[in-house]
Amino acid sequence: MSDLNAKKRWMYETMVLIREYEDFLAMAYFEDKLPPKIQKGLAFDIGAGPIPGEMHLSAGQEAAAVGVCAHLTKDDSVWGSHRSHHFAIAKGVDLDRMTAEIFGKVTGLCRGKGGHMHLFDLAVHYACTGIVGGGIPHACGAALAAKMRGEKSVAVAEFGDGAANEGSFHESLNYAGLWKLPVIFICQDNNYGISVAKSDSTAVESNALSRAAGYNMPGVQIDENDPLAMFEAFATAVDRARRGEGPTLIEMKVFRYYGHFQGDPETYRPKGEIETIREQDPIPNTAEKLMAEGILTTEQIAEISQKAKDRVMQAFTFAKESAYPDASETFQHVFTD
Amino acid sequence: MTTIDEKQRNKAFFQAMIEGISQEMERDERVFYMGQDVGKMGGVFQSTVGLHQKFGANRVIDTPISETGMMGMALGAAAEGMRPIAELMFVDFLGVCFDQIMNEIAKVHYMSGGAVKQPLVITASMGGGFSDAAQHSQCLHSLFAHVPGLKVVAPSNPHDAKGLMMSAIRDDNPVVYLFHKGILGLPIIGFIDADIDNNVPEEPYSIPFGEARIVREGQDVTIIGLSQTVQKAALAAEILAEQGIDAEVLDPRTLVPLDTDAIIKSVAKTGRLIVVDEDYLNYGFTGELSALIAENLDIVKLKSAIRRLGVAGVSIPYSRPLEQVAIPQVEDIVTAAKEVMASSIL
Amino acid sequence: MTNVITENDIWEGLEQGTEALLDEWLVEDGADVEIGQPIALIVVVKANHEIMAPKKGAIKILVAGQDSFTKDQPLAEIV
Repeated sequence: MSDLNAKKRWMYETMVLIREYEDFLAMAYFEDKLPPKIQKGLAFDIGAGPIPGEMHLSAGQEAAAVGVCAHLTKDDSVWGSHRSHHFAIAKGVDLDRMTAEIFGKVTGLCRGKGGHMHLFDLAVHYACTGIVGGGIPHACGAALAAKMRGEKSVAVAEFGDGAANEGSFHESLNYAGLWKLPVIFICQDNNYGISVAKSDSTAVESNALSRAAGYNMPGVQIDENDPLAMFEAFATAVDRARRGEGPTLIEMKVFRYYGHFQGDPETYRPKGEIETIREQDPIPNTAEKLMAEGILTTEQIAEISQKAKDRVMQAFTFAKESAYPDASETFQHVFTD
Repeated sequence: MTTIDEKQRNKAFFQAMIEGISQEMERDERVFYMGQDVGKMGGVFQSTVGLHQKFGANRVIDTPISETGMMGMALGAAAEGMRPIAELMFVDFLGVCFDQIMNEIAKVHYMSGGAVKQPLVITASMGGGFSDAAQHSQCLHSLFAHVPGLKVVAPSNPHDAKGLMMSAIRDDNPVVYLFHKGILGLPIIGFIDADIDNNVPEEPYSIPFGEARIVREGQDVTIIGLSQTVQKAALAAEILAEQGIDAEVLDPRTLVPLDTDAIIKSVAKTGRLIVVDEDYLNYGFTGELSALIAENLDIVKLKSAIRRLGVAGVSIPYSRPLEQVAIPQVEDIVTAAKEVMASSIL
Repeated sequence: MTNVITENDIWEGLEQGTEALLDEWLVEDGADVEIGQPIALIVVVKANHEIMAPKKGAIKILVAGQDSFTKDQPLAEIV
C-alpha cells in the first residue's frame, strides 16, 4: 500500500475510533446523574456519577483532527480546547490514561487532577485547556521555542469559530504573522459558540478568507467536512511552516453532533438541523470514497469498526478498574522541587 | 381593620435574582444586560431566563466570546449614562478581561477626580463542588475586593439575591455581584439550602450594602462565611447545637463595603472566630477578617486563636475525592468549632 | 377523569427507568383549570417543559413539586 493510501486508511480508522469513543462517552456520562439515583429535587446532577463535571464531545469534527495529525510527528505539538478529544486521540495520546483522567483516577494522564478539559500528554506533545482561546498563544510559544532552537517541528492550535473572536486569537495571529512562527491555526467552524450562531457573533463569514490576510498569513477555507480536504490543505501549510516561511490559518466547516455540553437541550438549534448534518456524516462518506479507490473493502470496514469498539471498551474498563488518587495528593504538585 | 397576608413567597436564588434584574429593567430603561448566551438561552446558569422574551434583543444582548471588548464597552456605555450589567459566565474568566476591570472600570471615577461615573454591574457565577476542575470552580471574590473602586456583593440566599441585585443596579458605582452555582437552586446542580431566607416579596426592595445579617444568634463562637459557606455554616451550627455548642453565624453579604462593626461586635460577644471561605486561603477574605480582629484587640478579647478555613493554596482538583478535601465542607466547620471550643488562650 | 401524563417524545433516547423532575406546580391542588392552561413546569435531564391541562376541570395533584416521576406516570388527575 502506498504511503498516501496508508495515511488515508489511518485517517479513516482514527475517525472511527474517535466517533466510537465519543458516542460511548456520551452514554457513559449520564450514568448515575439522573433520577431516581440523585439528590431529591434535581432533574440532573452534574457532579454525580463516575464521570462528573462538564463534558464537551467532538463527534462530527473528526475530519479536522485526522487531516491534520496525519502529517504530524511525535515532536510536533497540538494545543487544544475544551472540545478536544478528537485531536488528543489523533495525536496519539494514550487512550487508557486519557480515559482514566476523565474518570478522575490516579492512573490518568494528570493523576485525576485535570479532568476532560485539561489533558496533558508530554510524550506526544499534546495539551488542552478549558478557557476559550486560551491555547492559541500557547501554540505560538511552542512554535517560538522550535524556531529559537532551529528545529523543524511545528505547533498546531485547534479551536472553534467562537474562539476566533477572543483577543488571544487576534494577538496570537499577529505574533505568528509578524515573527513567521511555525504554527498552524485550525479553526473548526461548527457554527456555534454554545447557543449563539456564528452569524450572530462574528463580523465576517470566514476567518480564513477575511482575517488571515490581516495578520500577514495565508487563509484556507474548507467548506466540506472532509478529512481528505484537510489533509491536502494542511500538507501545504505544514510544509510552509517547516521551511520557515511562517503560519497559516485553515478554517473548516465541521458539525457539532452533540450539544455544547452533554445534557444541553439545544433548543436554540433550528428544527431538523441535527438530522440534516447527521445525514452528511463524513465517516460513511469517507468509507465510500476509500472503497471506490480500492483502499478498503467492506470486510475491512467492519473489522475497523469492531477494532475501534474493542479498543474503546478496553480503555473504559481500564479507567473503571483504576483507583482514585489518595486524598493526600490534593496538596501535591502546586510547585516543583 | 385589614389583615396582612404573611404567607411566605418562596423562590429559588436564580428566580429571585432574575426578578430583581427584571423589575429594575422595567423601572429604568437605561439598564441593559449583556453576556454570552444570556439571550434566548437565558444564560448557562439560567441567570436571565425570560428577560430576552420580555425586553428584547436590544436590552438583553448575546455577545461574542470577547470578554475584554464586553467589559470595555460596559465602561464606555456607563460613562455615557447607560446602566449596563455585564455577565462573566464563570468568574474564572475574569482572567481574560481583568485589565478592563482592574485598571479601567475600577479607576475611572477616581482618576477623573469624581467626574466620570461607572454605574455598572458585573455579574458572574462562582464556586465548585461538582468536578468542574481548576478553571471553572473558583470564587475569586478577594481579587475583586482587593482592588480599590469595586464594590463586591455575594448573596447567600434568595431573599438577599433579589434585594442586593436591585441595590447593585441602582448603585452609581461598579458593583461585582457573584452568584454561587451551588445555591442557585437549579435542577441540574446539587445545591445546599439551609433555609436561611427563601422568602422573596414580590414588590421591589433593596438591601443596603455594608449591612451584615446575623443568620443565627449564638454565644460560644462566631462563624463567618460568604455565599455558599454561609449555608454550610448554618448547617454546621445545627449539628453543633446538638453537641452543646451555640454558634453565631454571620453573613457579611457584601465584602466591599464590609460591615466591620457587626463583625467586631459579634466576635467581642463570643470571643471566638472561625472564617469559612471557598476562595483561596492565602491573602484573602479570611486574612482580612483576622486582621480586622487583630487590629481591635482593645474591644475584642479572644478566648482562642482565630481559625481560617479556605482552599489551602491549591488549585481545585478534578477528581472528586480530592475536590472534597480541597473545598471546606460542613464537617470541617464542625471540627474547627469543636477544636476552638476545646482550646483556650486565656 | 383524565390523567395528566407527559408526551413520549421528551423521553426519547433516555434509558429505561430514568426519571424527570416536577419542578413546580403553577396551580394549587383542587384548582379549576382550563384546556391548554399551563399547570406545571418539569425538567427532563436539562430541558425545561411546560405541562398544559388536557381537559377542563378540577385538578388533583399526584406528584408533588420537587419529586421525580417516570414516563407514563400520571402527574395529576383532572375531574
